[in-house]
Amino acid sequence: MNTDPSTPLIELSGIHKTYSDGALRVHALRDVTLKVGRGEFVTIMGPSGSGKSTLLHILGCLDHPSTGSYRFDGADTSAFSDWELARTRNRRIGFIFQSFNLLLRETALENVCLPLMYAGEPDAAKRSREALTKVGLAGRVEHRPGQLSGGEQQRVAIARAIVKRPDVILADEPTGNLDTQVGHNIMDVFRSLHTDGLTIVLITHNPEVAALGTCQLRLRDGELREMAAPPAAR
Amino acid sequence: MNEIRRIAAVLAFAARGLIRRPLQTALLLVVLTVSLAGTMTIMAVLSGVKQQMFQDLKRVGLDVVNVQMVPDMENLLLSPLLMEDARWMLAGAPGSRLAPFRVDMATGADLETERSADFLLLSTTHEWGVIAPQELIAGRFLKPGETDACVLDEQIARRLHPSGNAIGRDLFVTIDGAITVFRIVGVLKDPFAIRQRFDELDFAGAARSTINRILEFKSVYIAHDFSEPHEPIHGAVVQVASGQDAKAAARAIQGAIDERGLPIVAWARKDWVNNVMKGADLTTQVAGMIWIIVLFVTGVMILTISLVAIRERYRELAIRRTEGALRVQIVSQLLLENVLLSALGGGMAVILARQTGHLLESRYLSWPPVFLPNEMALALVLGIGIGALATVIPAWRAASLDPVEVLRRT
Ligand SMILES: Nc1ncnc2c1ncn2[C@@H]1O[C@H](COP(=O)(O)OP(=O)(O)OP(=O)(O)O)[C@@H](O)[C@H]1O
Ligand SMILES: [Mg+2]
Repeated sequence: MNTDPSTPLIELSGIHKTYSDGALRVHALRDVTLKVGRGEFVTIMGPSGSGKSTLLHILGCLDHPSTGSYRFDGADTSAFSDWELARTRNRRIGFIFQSFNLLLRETALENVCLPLMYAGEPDAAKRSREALTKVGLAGRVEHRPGQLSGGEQQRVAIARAIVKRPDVILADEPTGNLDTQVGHNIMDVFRSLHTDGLTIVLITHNPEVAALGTCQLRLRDGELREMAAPPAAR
Repeated sequence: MNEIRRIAAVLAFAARGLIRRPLQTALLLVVLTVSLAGTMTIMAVLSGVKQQMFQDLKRVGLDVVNVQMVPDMENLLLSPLLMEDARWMLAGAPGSRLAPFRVDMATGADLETERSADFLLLSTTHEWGVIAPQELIAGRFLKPGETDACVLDEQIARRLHPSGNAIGRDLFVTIDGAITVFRIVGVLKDPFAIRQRFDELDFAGAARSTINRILEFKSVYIAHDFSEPHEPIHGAVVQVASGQDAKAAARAIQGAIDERGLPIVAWARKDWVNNVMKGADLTTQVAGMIWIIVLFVTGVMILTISLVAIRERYRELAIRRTEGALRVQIVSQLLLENVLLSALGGGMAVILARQTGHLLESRYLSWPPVFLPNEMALALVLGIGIGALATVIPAWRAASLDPVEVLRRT
């Protein structure tokens, strides 16, 4: 891990992502440059199909850019082996998705344990319970996703993301499947995570949610622009 | 200690994966258990046949050489051998003892039961019972100089006296129109106990005809005085001196016969037993194809179930990959689940096969199926191996999919 605090945690420069489906070429991202420092709360808005998820997958080491460079904590991710990519996802990046992506046959506790298990963490169960308590689900540890409400499922997903004590949380429309009140509750969780010092990159359709960011960006046709201009974003 | 705990955790994890999918687990378990149990049972039944056959055959005496005329329709009962020929015949096998015999086709009847049977009438000396001893189920063998007594093979005894004891009864034997009466003093055990079942069950046709054709033990033994040197004989059973090789003795006797150009063969029973066993081995090999096919079909079934089952888990596996699981970890997880299942199925198959074996023995077979440890291990290893192979292929495919793609599509 890089210890120099002046190094940005995330550093994208000149990122392009092109999908080619036979003769059809889709430019999902065009020349995206972005720096995210530690402790920042970045929100990204943009219409459907503008490339938000594509960007997040690249940030999460789940996908590779077509061109351009991505440095994570100072390290060039294009040089990462499969093992390093998996390890980075496993220990340093927390994912939260619109559709929760929980294992339906496993309990809340087992879902939260998942990353720790692959990390070979010995006190996985204890830490997972703590994470579930933190998101207000202490009483739901043995429930399966099917026995939980949408908001509760998203809390399980948040617990799974924070249990690994990641460097950054990447959230792709975490409130997209929830009604307004529940969405507010989830955003309260994000706000407190940010207060605790976690770095967050969050994608949303909702301007109200986007307004929570210390840095608010907008994607349109694969191009990234600033919205308001808090000094942290560039 | 930590290692043990880690292994326990990994096993518990795999077990959880199985318990969470009860239907699929049960289905695979049934397929595995039934086919493995079937394979083991087939193997055990065949091993049982072989073992029983060998025991049966051993009873006819392994250190005995048979000397007899080459079967020929024209000179069927016209013997070129005389009693005095025994001297030069046995010159190459010193220390041997010989019981001469003559063979006649005969019909015998019991006047009270009004039943009759055709058989080979073997005129020999009391020494037959010492040289080529056969187990008796009742009575005794012929005594020296006992010319009015006879000993029956079990099959003939059962024909004439289906209700039971034949000892002490009179047998009226017709030879070339003349009738002689013999008192039954003994009944010989059929050395081919296994044959009875083959008469009823026709499934092992090859083995059955091998035994039946070579040895129809349906004879009646009577004593005859062979002291006269010009007495014609049809053959003899020879017991080689102890410590001598029966095969070598048979070769020496055959050599002496060939010098004189007589249509006579000398063969060691040991050789014959080996030949029959080789025939049985061949039968076993052919039957072995059956269980190879059974295992192959099992493999294809498991592969099909695995393909469907793992496809259903694409999303789960993609989530695991997102959370940092390596490809090998995904494959190992699925593989371990399968091996655990196979081990369970294998254990159940052992129990089921033994039960099936008992049932077959008590209901249908006259020989006990023999579960050889190495054959059982072979079936288990093949079963688990096929299961593992049928898992690795779809598991590797699933682990190699792009998780983003899978999650986007589902
Ligand atoms: N695997 C792919 N193959 C081809 N085209 C793709 C693929 N993934 C994404 N795209 C295209 O890239 C563009 C950006 O997709 P992306 O999923 O990033 O949009 P988004 O901003 O997340 O949209 P939404 O708000 O609807 O989730 C879209 O036009 C999409 O059709
Ligand atoms: Mg999206």
